[in-house]
Amino acid sequence: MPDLVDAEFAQRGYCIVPASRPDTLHRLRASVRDLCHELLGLPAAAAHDDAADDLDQLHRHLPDAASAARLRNDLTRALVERMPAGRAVFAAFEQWIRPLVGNDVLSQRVANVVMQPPGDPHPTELHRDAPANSPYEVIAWVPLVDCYGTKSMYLLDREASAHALQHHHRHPDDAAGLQRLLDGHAEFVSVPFGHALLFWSGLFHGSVVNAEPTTRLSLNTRFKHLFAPLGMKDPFRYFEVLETTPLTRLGLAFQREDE
Amino acid sequence: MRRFVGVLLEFDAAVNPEPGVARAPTAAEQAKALARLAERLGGTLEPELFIAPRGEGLDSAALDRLEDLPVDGVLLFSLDTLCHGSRVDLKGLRRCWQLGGRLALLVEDLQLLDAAEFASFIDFVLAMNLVRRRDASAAWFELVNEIGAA
Repeated sequence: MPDLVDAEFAQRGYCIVPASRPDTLHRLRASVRDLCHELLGLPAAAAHDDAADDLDQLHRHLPDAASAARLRNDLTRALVERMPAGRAVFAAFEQWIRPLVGNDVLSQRVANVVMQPPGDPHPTELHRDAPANSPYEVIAWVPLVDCYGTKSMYLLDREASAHALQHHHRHPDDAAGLQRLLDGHAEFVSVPFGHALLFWSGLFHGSVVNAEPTTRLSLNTRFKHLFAPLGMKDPFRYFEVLETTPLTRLGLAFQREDE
Repeated sequence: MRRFVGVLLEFDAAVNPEPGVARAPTAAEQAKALARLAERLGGTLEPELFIAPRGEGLDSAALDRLEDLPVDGVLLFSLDTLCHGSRVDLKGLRRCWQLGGRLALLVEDLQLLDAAEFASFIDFVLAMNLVRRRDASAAWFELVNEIGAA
């Protein structure tokens, strides 16, 4: 198992990893940039244009929060119809994701798109995915621009998440106490393009209003083992099979005859 | 023009199918949505519709009737129309597929239009059935049934 995963993910519940196939990630970003241009009615970018800069400056074409939300929704739909973003993310970070989930892989069908222009009033509130998601899922948070400071996201590591949960159970109405705990332990992660933040679904995380001068654009998508316990989400709506081993295919064929 | 038969889902009255949606869709609303789906697939929805109770799925008598229809495919409102408890009725799913080699699921947004796609989907369903069977105890099923019957 690669050291980053073994040492950091196991201990803290997250790690920041470089793409094992950066070319795949660059293609994904260029495709997202092209889709954004198309959806905004902008001229197509030339191949040599800087996709990072184009995406960083998206807010210049988004006069208000509603137009940003509209573009985000349209982009999510366009990705579903035109490119399997989950597959691209898996391919780009396979070296790190595979040791976590194994070789029979379920991938989230629709990757989530997060777009936060500077000052956007809708950051993501503190939450954790599991439950309702399975605690056997890993989230790949993939920035398409350099994300740092308030343009990024924060999370509580495994220990701090456990403390936060314990505090909430003991003092369910103490929002100020929870906020103090959050202020003391939340880590804003700096994730440059070319990297991904991989984190366990049981970690608390969120974001704040983007006070940086450029737009945050990131994808997040989830992976789990085909036979790992399910959460409450309907697997047929939420996941698709990304790959199976020859052994699993033989086993399923055997059982198929039995059913 | 292809002819599709539709299978609707009978929701419990209290079901809130999505966050922010106050009530489950009525049979008429489901039929309208399936008619639009049939149109997108280059066909029409047959006037005779089947209704599967949530948690029970289509029974074998309904599947027998369905197989007698001269149609080109089946449109399920949801895979729940073939679920017994939390497990999908694989035989029922196969029977629906064999009816015309075209099967679409509206809620799951899945269209299985060739044998390879269907085979992959069957493997996914089989794996999820195995996971659900493994992860739920007999005592849990008993409790769920008691609650359901109450």
